[in-house]
Amino acid sequence: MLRYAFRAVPWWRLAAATGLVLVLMEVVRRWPWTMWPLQGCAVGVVAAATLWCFDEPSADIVDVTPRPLAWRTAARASGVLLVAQAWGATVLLARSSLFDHASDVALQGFAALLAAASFATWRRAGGTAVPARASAALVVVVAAFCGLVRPGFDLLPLFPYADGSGNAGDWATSRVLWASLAGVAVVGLMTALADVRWWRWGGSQM
Amino acid sequence: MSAIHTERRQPDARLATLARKDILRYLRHPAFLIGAALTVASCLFRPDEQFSSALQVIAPAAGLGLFGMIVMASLTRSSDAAAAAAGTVSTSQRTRTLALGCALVVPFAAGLVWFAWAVWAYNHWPAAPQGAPFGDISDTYMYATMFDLGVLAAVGGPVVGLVIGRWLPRRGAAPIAVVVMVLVTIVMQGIFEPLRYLRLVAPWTYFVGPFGTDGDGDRTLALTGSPYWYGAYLVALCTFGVLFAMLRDEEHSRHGLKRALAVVGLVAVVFCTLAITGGPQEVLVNPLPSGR
Repeated sequence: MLRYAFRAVPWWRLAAATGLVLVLMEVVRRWPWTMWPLQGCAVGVVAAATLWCFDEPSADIVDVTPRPLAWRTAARASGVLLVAQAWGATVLLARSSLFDHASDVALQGFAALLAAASFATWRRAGGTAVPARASAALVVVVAAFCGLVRPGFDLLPLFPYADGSGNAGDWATSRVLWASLAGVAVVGLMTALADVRWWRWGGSQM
Repeated sequence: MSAIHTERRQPDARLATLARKDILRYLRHPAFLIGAALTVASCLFRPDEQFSSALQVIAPAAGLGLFGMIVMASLTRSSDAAAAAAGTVSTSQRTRTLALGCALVVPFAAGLVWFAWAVWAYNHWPAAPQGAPFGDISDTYMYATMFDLGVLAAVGGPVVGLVIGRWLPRRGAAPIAVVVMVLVTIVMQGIFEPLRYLRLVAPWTYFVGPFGTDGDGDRTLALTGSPYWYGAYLVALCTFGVLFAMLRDEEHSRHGLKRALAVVGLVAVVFCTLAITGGPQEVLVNPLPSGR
């Protein structure tokens, strides 16, 4: 499994993405008031990096091998683990500048990660070889837009600004939104994995 | 005679056909549709009381410009993939790049629609006296900033996407470039005082805003520089970008292109210098407190 993960996961692209997340959150840590929109961008990069982990450019060959999709998904999750660790570490390092909302910011990243993993697994189960091709760039730019412009932030506070004072968005509502997304993502992930008959994991390896 | 005439016309006809197809592909691209929808959504709300629609330039810049980077990088990649799949194609990479450049008419038109709304909103909901315009800052100045940061940004983003698609055709390059662009833009938008004078080097920056003074953190300021020359600088940058993308084609002679690039680069430097040294040379402070 490790050998497969080593060859299949785009480690260099993941390294670039996690490095970018580190840089973005470090900038937010240094200048939280002015550079806060980068926090939303960082969440987008986390989601994109997760999507890249599940791409299978050689799906035509790999999909007919005895290894089931669930096995390959589990192997590729090692890349997701790296992204999750990087996100957790950056939030931990920047926690003093996150206006007592470090846990909320962490939740945003992990929920985005789960949602991306769920979407990619669902698309892979549906036969799409490279789910990130159309979605990874889109998720980054949508997150950047939401972080910068914050459209309808009083109704849909995806990325509340800094301490949430004034018209900066409500952190409590945001928490509910991201927690709901995480919940839906977990259910979606389970459903996608069930679709590939993960219970036959052991049996299909003969 | 007529054979020579036909031969001369053929590349033009091919370019026109390709350009039409690329314009349609741009219009149908999901990222363009989502970005345009988000830009439209941002126009549904009443603009800021102190600056009216002048402070809403970020919406088309992000919705059409940043999304445009992704659209154009993706179109360039798919154009190359189609050419590679076709094997030997009679259309050169330079013609295909030029056709993609023609598709810039889509974000430009979308930017113009936003600009029409912004001008209407600016007059329908005039800015409060403690906002902008104030003092020597005229309405024309405000329209120029809206055009630069709205319409030209909507074109500039896709031009960057075209350059990325040609020179860095790697997966992940476009989204990473989007994030880098956001980072550079925030740093250069005028909030950091030491960078204010030279901020006009960047492809997107504010001219007026609630930058604040000691004791009034939201006081309206008009920063140095000329938005009129800045617009000319941005047009030169866009032209430079398209030429630079065309330079990628190694199958044809690049001497003429290199010369054109040098000229356009020089023009851009001149316009940038004029943008920095023109207009107000001191930060103008609105005499009225922000009241926030």
